Amino acid sequence: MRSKIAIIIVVVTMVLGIVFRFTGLDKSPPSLGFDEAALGYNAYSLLLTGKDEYGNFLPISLRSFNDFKPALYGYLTIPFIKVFGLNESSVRMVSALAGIVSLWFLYKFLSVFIKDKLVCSLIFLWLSFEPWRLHFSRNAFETHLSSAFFLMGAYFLIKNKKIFWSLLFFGLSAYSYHSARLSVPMLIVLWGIDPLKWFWVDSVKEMVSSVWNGVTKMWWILALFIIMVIPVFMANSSLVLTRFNQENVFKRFYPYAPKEFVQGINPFLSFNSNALYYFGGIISGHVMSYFSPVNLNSRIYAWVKMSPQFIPGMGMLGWIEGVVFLFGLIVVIRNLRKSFEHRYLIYWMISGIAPAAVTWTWYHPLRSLNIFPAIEIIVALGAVEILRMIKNKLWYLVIALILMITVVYTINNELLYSAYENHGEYQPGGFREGMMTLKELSKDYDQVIIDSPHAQSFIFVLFYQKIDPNIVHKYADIRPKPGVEGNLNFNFEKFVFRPIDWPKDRNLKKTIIWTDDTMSKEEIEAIPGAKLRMVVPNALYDTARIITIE
Amino acid sequence: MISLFNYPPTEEQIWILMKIGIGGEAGLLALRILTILLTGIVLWLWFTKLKNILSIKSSVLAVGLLLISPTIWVLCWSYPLMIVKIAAVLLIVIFFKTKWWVVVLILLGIGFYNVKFLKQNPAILSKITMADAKNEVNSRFMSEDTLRIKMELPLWWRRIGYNKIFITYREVLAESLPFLDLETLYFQEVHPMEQKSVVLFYWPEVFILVIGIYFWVTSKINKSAMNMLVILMLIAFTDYLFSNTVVYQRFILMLIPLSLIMATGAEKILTNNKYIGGFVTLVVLYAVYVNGYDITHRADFWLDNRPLVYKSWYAGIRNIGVENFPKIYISTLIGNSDNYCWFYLGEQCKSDRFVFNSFDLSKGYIDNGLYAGFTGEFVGPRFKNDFDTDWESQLPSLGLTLISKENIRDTVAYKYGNDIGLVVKK
Repeated sequence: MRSKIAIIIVVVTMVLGIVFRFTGLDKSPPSLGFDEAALGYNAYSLLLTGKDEYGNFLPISLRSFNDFKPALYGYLTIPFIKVFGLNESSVRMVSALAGIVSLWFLYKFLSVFIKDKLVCSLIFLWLSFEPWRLHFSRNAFETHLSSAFFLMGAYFLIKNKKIFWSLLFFGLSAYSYHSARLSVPMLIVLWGIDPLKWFWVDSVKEMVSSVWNGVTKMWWILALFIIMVIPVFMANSSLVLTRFNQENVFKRFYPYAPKEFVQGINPFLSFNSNALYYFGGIISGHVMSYFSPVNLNSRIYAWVKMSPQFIPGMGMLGWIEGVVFLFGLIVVIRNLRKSFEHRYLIYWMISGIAPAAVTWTWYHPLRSLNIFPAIEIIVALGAVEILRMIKNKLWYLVIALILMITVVYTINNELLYSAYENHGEYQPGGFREGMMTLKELSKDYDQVIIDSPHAQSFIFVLFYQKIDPNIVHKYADIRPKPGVEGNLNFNFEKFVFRPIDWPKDRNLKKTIIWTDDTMSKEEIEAIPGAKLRMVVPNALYDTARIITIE
Repeated sequence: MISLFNYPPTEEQIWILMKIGIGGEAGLLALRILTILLTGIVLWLWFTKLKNILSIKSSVLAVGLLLISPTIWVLCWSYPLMIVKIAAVLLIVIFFKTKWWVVVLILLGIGFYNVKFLKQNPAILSKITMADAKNEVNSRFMSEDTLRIKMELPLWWRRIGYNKIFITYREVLAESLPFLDLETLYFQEVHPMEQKSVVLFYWPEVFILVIGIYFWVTSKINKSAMNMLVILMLIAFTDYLFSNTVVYQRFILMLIPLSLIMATGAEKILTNNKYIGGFVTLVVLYAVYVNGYDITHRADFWLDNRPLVYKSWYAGIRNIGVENFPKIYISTLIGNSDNYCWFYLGEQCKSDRFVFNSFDLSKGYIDNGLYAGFTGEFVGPRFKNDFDTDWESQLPSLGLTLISKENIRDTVAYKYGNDIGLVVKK
């Protein structure tokens, strides 16, 4: 009976997972982000021409905004664009699908640790509504795809039976996002040599033997993985390194120690404030920040808030999970000696954190997304421990009620409130609403001037007007070179991207102007030949005006 | 460089000195010595209690870890009422058996002490009364309703998630969770948000904590030690919730249970492998040195800057002579400072000569007298707090003469600049 109920709960969870991931993908979030539009248009370009927006044939990385996005997300999006057209939903479907697959493997992983199927399924139901799961499944994030593959690879690795599948998914993970290229080899090495076990060996001989066994167990897997990802490192390696140079922890915080104490001397030779001491603190803090319940639950750092990974009003986990995570950690620590599976969770955490820890940001969920399934498993272990400690069954009811309301809150938060909070800055909106009108009008005009505050607004023109990629390829040479960041707009065909200067531009002829200028209709129509054609709304306010000048 | 040793008195030190009627530097030094003595006695008693329930080594290490914490030094030197709080909690734990009613009494007492004596207004109170929750529920509904493109969710469904009771639960959790903030507890030296706080524990000690936790959860720890740990954590948590002050002072009672856990970890490290033990000891000693050097050379980076402001004003007034001015105007932008006036200038502060109020000398008629204030009070406030470095060049046109000027590290009065000074209108 218990196992039948468990099966029903798992099926219901998966169905709900599908519903909340695929419903209304075009409305929530209400507009595409820049990276989403870029992934979508590149997939469109690959579909039609086999080349990315710059004309590179079947690339491994998409140059995009000179950030060289791993291309796998784009390739996987192609079938959805073929079937559903180039729109918000088709771009986000890969992420939604990754979310579903990830859910299933979360259940498989939970089953490794929780033997009571009913308890396991109930915890699975709860964890399936974690804020990060909903948020990352409803936005096109190559990181999320990578995280799903990483989870699958980690599952087959711990099973130690189907290493082929493990390698395949780890490889796909590395082709989806940069982090996995460091996380995967680290996890394979840690899995193989199992260093935490060394704390309990009695002699050096035993330790050497353990290391040797580990090396023989994992070297060929590691070698195959490296061979698999060599093409990634061969393609654009110097440019990827350029990106790392901008983001790494070594450069950003130099000289690490308080500047007033190390002025004029080599900070590493200072005795009073040695740089190495502070650098150790920074790196240790970066690692430990991923174990901090406050960060997991509620604290929002500035660099998170100003990016698409921001989940308003919540952290990556729900409202109590951070505390439960601590209980889970105690369970993990208690079982470190006797259980490889528990040690594996620590290895997973460390290898997932490593790529994020060497960048300048303290706690960066997006760069460490690979660890969140491991965190969920630790939360699950904590939950089992708490349930075990509860004597009065009335508490089960109270907990169930709180968790149920938390799930409803999370759904509201992601589908509605998040759409409100995140709209505007990096999900600018308005382009979908105005581009069709612009396209119709532009047939009769010589020039279209786009005056937008956004540094990459061209991508929305390409996306929503479905500009023929062959036309865009012709302009690849005049576009900002690799390494350039900031304003990456470029002029093509009739489209010119620049700010409007009314004293001069009022004399233009046969021109359409897309501007966020707040001039009234009367002011616009006082300009000879000018006409306000459309006030362009986004999800919250009027964001732009389409003006024609005859 | 401003050292901890000559850091001016804090408001609570002045309050105590006023109560006992001994002012001046000698009174302050006596108070500081007494506070250190009290700390020493309490920690000795704590050690004698600990050695009955933990090993001698762990007991020494637990007290040692407390003693090397910069927070303890700072509290001894500047916050006697905080030391009294620590002492009271430890003495009750030492001399009373850990019965549930003793714990309840301590918890109630801590709340009372924080509100009554430390004059704190804990944020948790506004959460419990649902005042904030009501605003948030309204704000969420209104925000979502303004969306022009959105998914439609039924109102009853939204109300399940957005209601005062659940939002209150959420806000209480949000208020409680930072109690588990590793960054504040262990990474103050490199804190990502550069918050104003003294170091509680040095960052290398976080690894000792991890090892300590391992042994606490895997070894057979004496039951009374475990009970004591849980009770101390509960007390620390209550104190954290029912306080509202600088972050390191909200965590002070957490130092004690953490030192117990770390002591176990440190003992295991030292006894299991002498090389690793030696290395860890060296690193921790170096941490003590680095932080000691830091706080003795730039105490204003770590500590509240307001006492520096008051010292600058009142020591300046004392030097030029109170009797030379018909009126002396003291800014109250950062609070009323008549207690500080008493400390530096004595009973003459009670005369009508002193006026404690904020002022704006850039506007209209100015009375003759001496003015102690911030840049913005002399030349007019600036919204972005961006004053010219030579702002004093504007004073002659206002008929003012600058007597002294000092720059303080922190912005304690936004819009009014980081320079303070004494200005005369004749």
